[in-house]
Amino acid sequence: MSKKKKVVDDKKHPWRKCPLGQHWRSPSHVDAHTRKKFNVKEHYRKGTCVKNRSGRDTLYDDEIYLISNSFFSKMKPKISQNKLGYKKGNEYNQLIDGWVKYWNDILKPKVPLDPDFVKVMIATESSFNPKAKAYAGKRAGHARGLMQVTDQTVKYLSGHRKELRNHLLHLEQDDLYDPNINIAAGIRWLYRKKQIADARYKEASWLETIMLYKGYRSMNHPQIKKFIKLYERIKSEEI
Amino acid sequence: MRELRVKKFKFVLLFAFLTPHYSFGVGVKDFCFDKPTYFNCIEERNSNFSLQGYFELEGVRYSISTRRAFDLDRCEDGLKKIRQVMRDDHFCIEGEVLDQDSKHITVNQVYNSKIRWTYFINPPKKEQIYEYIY
Repeated sequence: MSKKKKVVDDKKHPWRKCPLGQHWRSPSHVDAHTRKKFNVKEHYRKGTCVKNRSGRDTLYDDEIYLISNSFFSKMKPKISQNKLGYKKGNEYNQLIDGWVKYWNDILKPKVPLDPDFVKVMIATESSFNPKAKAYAGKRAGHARGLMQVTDQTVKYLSGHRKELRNHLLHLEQDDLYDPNINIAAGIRWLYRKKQIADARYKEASWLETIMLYKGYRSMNHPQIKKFIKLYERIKSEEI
Repeated sequence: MRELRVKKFKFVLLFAFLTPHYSFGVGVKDFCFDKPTYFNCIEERNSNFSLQGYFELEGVRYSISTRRAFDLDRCEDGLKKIRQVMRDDHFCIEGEVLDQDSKHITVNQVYNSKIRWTYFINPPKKEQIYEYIY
């Protein structure tokens, strides 16, 4: 009797340097220190792939930078050049384009996420201020950076309570003021909200997902109407 | 021929400066009052609460809201502080508008000469964020 072979999807994204289940750690200088009663001399540590503690696919900050620096400038821009009235409206275009492509490739939605959608989201969340910080309440903690990712979300992104089954991000709160890390994390979280919205509405639109992200109940809320108007503007290039 | 081109250019430049600039894009605007406007916490989804308000100016109703809904404690703290600000004889609301004629404001801050409530902690100056200050 022949044994059935277990089919395992072991394909990693072409932008990832390490095999599945591992993450890239950049080369670094290590100071002299003591570890488990041994004295470790000052030395240079080469870049290497490190096993993920969770066993799941996880992005760390080093690899977020490796991906964006290696691949994003080579991409043909899809995002609108419309600043929407914000001084820094075009400053993060390449990062938005890159991370939208990455997460669309990994998570394969039926309707791919549009980078212009994320651009409008950043406009409405933080007005393109990467240092934006707001208190979101006892439960959520603080919301930080371009996409106003909360402290609670950072925990979930790292695997807390298995909110995410795979494709985690390991971050610190202060990392969220870095536009590159914030956008990578914010889009991943938006995908989780899409998953929740799909369960609720049976194949939700990205707009319904935004409603969930912002905590609003109705499409008629002025903030959702504002989002729609800005998105229409960006698509029609009115300004 | 060159003189004609220079004259045409000067005319275009003059026209651009003299033409009123209407509804250019997202910007920031201040509205000031002598008496309190309406603000309240409205329940949304998943135990989130939305800080919303409105006021009337020259017979036109303007609505106010925040970028997101949040936990009740955050909404109530915000509401308490805003009501404190509004007790003064004169206070202002700074908000983001879609364009110059917009009737909805995304509130950035509510302030008087002594105290202020801000949506963001330590927000930068509006000139650093917006191209249009109406």
